[in-house]
Amino acid sequence: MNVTNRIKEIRLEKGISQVKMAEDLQITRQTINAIENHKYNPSLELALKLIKYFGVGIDDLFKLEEE
Amino acid sequence: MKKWGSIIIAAVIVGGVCIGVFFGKLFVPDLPVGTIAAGFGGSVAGIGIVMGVEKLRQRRKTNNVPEVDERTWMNIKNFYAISLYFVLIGSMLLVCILFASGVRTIEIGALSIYLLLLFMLLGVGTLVVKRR
Repeated sequence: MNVTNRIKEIRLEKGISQVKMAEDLQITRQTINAIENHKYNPSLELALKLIKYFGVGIDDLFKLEEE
Repeated sequence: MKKWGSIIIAAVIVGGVCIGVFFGKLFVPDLPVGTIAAGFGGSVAGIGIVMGVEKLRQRRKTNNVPEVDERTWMNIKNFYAISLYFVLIGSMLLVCILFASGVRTIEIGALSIYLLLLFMLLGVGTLVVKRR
């Protein structure tokens, strides 16, 4: 089962740049890129930080793709 | 703490070199002064270059984005886990090849050069993985 996310979509909606997001969440820009391109699943801690940062529900941000 | 971190690391490395030189003198009484000077000078110069480059990079940095995060640490851990297999299997293979080719003893000097190369490779690999 794959985990997909709408981080890029929501980030662009809110007009936040990758660098700004990296500074705010104290993660590297490469990590943001990897998460947005579904190459890396964030840890639970980072996932919760992302939810808080964007002010959305967990279902709005992450989705478990059924095979 | 961050400011003192690099100074502490450098001091520990230089301290380690001093202890190494002390033991070297202990085990090899007629150790040439040139060798000690070269080792000590090389270590201090190496630390100086690394710290200087790091300072320059910090000064040129325009944003507050961290160098490492959870994904980077995971990549580094994976890199070390994989390299451990390569080092162990590679070393064993090398010993087997040497034994098969008739070598029965290994000089400490050759062994130290081999270990030095291994550490250098691991160091370079860590830097490469860190940037990914």
